[in-house]
Amino acid sequence: MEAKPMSEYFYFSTTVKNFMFEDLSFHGSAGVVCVCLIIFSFTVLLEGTKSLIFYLRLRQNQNPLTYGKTETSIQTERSPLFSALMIPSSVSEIKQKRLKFHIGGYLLHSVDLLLGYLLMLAVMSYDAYILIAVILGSGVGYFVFGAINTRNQIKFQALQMSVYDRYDSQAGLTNSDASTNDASTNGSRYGSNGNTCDKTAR
Amino acid sequence: MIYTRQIRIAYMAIIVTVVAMVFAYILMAFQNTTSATTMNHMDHGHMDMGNGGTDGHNHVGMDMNNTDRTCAGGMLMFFHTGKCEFILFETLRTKDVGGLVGACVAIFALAIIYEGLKVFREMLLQKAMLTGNKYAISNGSSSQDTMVISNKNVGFQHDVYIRLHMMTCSHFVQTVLHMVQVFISYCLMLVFMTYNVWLCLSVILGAGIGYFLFGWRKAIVVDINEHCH
Repeated sequence: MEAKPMSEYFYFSTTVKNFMFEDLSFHGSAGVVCVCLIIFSFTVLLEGTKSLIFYLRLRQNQNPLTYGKTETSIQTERSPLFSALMIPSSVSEIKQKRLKFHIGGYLLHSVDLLLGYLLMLAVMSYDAYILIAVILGSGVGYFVFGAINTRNQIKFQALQMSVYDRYDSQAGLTNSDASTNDASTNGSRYGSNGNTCDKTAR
Repeated sequence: MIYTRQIRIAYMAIIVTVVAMVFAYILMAFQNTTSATTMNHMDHGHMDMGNGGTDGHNHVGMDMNNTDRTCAGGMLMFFHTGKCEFILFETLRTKDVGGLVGACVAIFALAIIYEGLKVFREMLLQKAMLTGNKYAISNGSSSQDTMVISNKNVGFQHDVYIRLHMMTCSHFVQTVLHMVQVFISYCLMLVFMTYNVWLCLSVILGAGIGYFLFGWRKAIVVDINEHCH
């Protein structure tokens, strides 16, 4: 039996035969609703995975002087000495940290690819309901996780800026000089914006 | 150029109208040819039912000869250069060279629009983050020094950030554009799946020229924002 696709154009149907595995078929409206809900959750998971990858990249490119600063303790007067103590001192520790980031990125990337290809194969069945479920899932996923991405990016930019503001004031520049422009200007001036800009619009 | 709300809405309207025009062109271009063929199909189908089952095979043979003179065979899962393809929908069907050329042009335009949409969304996001940042920071702090999130009212300002970025108009616009982008990307994938060499080439060339026309903005957008705001 040659492998021919079931359809060559979009169709609305409540019977899906051989969905992605050989004997997996759905009949009736309840079956289609279940399939669409599963596909919807997969799409939201995909958007979540992309958001996690973005957060991992932000953490990876974080200024070491901002290690240990969380959202609740951003403005505490943390001396530069204490921040410097949080930086891993030996090369082997730095290598381990980079390895952990790399492995985490690899795992997330494979989950991202897997979910992406699964959804592509689901849409390839040319069932219109499944396409609508994918589109709605991507919309809801982007609505939730896109906001989280923006919040994380601003948080990490604020962290970055807090370090350099303190340094500028210590080096003689006044705070008003360093903070007349807004957050992303300072972030890009010190080179931290380039890594995260192209990831936000995925 | 200052991206006010009106200009943003104008950009979106332009994109939506161009996409609608492309689909309308496709529909109009193939409506006449496909309606004739579907009527032929139905007539021969009725004749088959009427004459009984013993002559079924002959009639099916004649059916193929009469209506699909040059379009034989179903979907071929290897690269082929034919001129009979279904383009995504049942009513869009190319039967001759003219139809195929029209389909190639439409898919080329769609790929260019897709690349432009990606860059446009990124531009909108940059603008939204700049204005959102200014609004949040100037709203929450009185003095010029407190650029970082203050610990004293971290709850309030944190909520301002989250509320600002989930429920703003710009986020809704970004979500809608994201859905359009997902739909167009899946459509391009399905067009590529027809395995027709001409359609695949038009997808690739459209993406390339789209990136050429719009991709340079990705490098410049960040720099321009820093100087004039």
